[in-house]
Amino acid sequence: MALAAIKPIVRRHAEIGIVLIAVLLVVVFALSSEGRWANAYNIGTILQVTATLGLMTLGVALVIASGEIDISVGSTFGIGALVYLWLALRVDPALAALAALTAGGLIGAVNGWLVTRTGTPSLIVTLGTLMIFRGIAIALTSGFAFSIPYKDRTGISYRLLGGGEILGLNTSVIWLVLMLVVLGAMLRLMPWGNRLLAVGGSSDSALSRGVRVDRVKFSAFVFCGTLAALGGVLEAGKLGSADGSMGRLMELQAIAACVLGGCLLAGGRISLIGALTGAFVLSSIQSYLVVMSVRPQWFMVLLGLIVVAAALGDRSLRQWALRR
Amino acid sequence: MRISARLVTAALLASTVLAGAAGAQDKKYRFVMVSHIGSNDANMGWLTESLKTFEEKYPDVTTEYISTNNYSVQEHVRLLEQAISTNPDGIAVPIVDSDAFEGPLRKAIEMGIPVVAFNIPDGRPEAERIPYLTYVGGDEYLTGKRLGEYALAQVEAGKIPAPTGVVCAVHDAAHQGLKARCAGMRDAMEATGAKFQELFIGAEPATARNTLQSFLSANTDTNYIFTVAGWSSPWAWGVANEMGLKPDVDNEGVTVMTVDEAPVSIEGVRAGHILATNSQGFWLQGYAPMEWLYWYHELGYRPNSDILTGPIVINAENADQWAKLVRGVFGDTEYDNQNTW
Repeated sequence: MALAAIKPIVRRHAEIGIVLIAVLLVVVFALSSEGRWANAYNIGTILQVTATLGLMTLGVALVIASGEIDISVGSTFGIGALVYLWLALRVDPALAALAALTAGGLIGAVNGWLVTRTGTPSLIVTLGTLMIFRGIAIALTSGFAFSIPYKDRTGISYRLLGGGEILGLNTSVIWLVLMLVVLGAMLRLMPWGNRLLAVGGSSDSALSRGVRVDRVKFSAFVFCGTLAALGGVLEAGKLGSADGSMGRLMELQAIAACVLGGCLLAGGRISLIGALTGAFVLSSIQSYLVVMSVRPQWFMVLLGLIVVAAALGDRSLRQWALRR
Repeated sequence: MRISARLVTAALLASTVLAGAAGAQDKKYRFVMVSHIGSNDANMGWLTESLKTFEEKYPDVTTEYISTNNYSVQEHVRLLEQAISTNPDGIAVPIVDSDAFEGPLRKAIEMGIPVVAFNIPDGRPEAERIPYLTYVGGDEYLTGKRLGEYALAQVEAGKIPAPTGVVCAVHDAAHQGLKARCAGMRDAMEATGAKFQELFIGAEPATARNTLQSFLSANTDTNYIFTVAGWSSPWAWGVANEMGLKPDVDNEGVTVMTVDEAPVSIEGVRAGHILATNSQGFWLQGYAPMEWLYWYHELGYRPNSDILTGPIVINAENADQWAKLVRGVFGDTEYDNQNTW
């Protein structure tokens, strides 16, 4: 009886499945790791990782909602980090961050322009830009890292941009919450949110109702690039160093987080909370395997198995909820 | 629903097994090696085997080896932070990027966790270094330099052609240690007037071979190839051989050099394909940091200087002895599996 009452809630909220799985994993990990996983230091690390991956995930979720995909975000993340660190030694970190976000936005604009103007599938376009900007990142660093010496990592701007902590939490977590609120408001309160979902659901139908499909998709790519670059800035602030490999393979994690979190790859359905929970689940599993000292040859296998189990669990829950 | 239920159950069971493993670790000390060498690199065997030997000698210590097969500094720092969060009794870590590692390592040292750097030191002046106990490992720059000097000695002896062009084939463009190896080779070759170039070939065999082939076609004066990973040396030799550049060790054609005391490197030397490789004492780099951590806890030892474990040139004269040693550590089956010639 009680279960039947939950069904409508699960049907209405795509993220319920991943949230339940996250709760289950937290309980299992906490109980089975003898304090190695569930301690303040580790939870702080997981939240910092979730924050930078989560910002990228939010951007990818927007593009997915529009019916497209952006797999160049890993490279955009890297470019954002490099631009930030190179400039932060020369100008105020806030200005450096602004420049990095602009670079990210421009990469998003290139993706968006190519997809909407040429009609080339976004998978191909962003695969190309993934390689182009990874190549540029490697070429820029020439095998070395852009970095800020440890003793020079001072000042309020630097600390607010991932280089410091507030109440034991890296400041990137605050940026994530801020972006979640802003994007949530844009999706729910502004016409842009409705248009984005309409375009993702059926672009022809949206076009017939006067929605400027290309413009909406273009804006989603720009937001995506900007958010990925913001993630890169905050990660660079935390590490104080970035090389050409920064952000590599994070695009796959971001897409996986979106799908786990209830975003429909075909477009038209999005859950920002779900996508972020997906990022948290991925970071938590990865951390658990590390603190339990799983050998690298088994690490990927176990990570993959747990992700597949989580995805199937989520899917089964949704199917159960849809059964009358 | 049934399949997913089973999968979830399997995941939970795996967690329980892992928890059991954690529970079994009721020893006096737990030392963690947070490495940049994943299971896709044969050198991991040196480190894990030496940790096993260490545990046999010191049964009151548990050692753990943490690394990733998708290496990046970002990922490595993440692994390091997660290792620190488990509050181990000691950490051994290569300082791949001193700026990126300084924050977490200083935090660990402040928490009372002793740190030993292995394989890659903090290259900054001593006063600016991360305050680790000591460094145990080779010298990346000397690795390239000694191999280059050995090659020039062989030129003097009339055994191989003089260099006209040297290419340093690098698989990871962001790895500072590999750049240092190339720099050592470049400096050794400088006086000969040979043109020196670095080439990014990547770690994927087909791409690496294509890149090398294109490079050698466009740079016909290149007659020395230095691969900064042992496993990429058969690719370089294979490409040169297919192009008819006579890459075996003799007084004509191309000369190939590589690194590491891996089976593939040693067998390349023994087969006459590779002029020389080197050992940086990988086994010691796994064992010695653990021993220093143990002695630090038990006896208050603090080494007074860095501990260099290499490089040592492996050539046709001593390769048989090295093969015997490596077979003893890896076992015959594993040794033969890793020989990709």
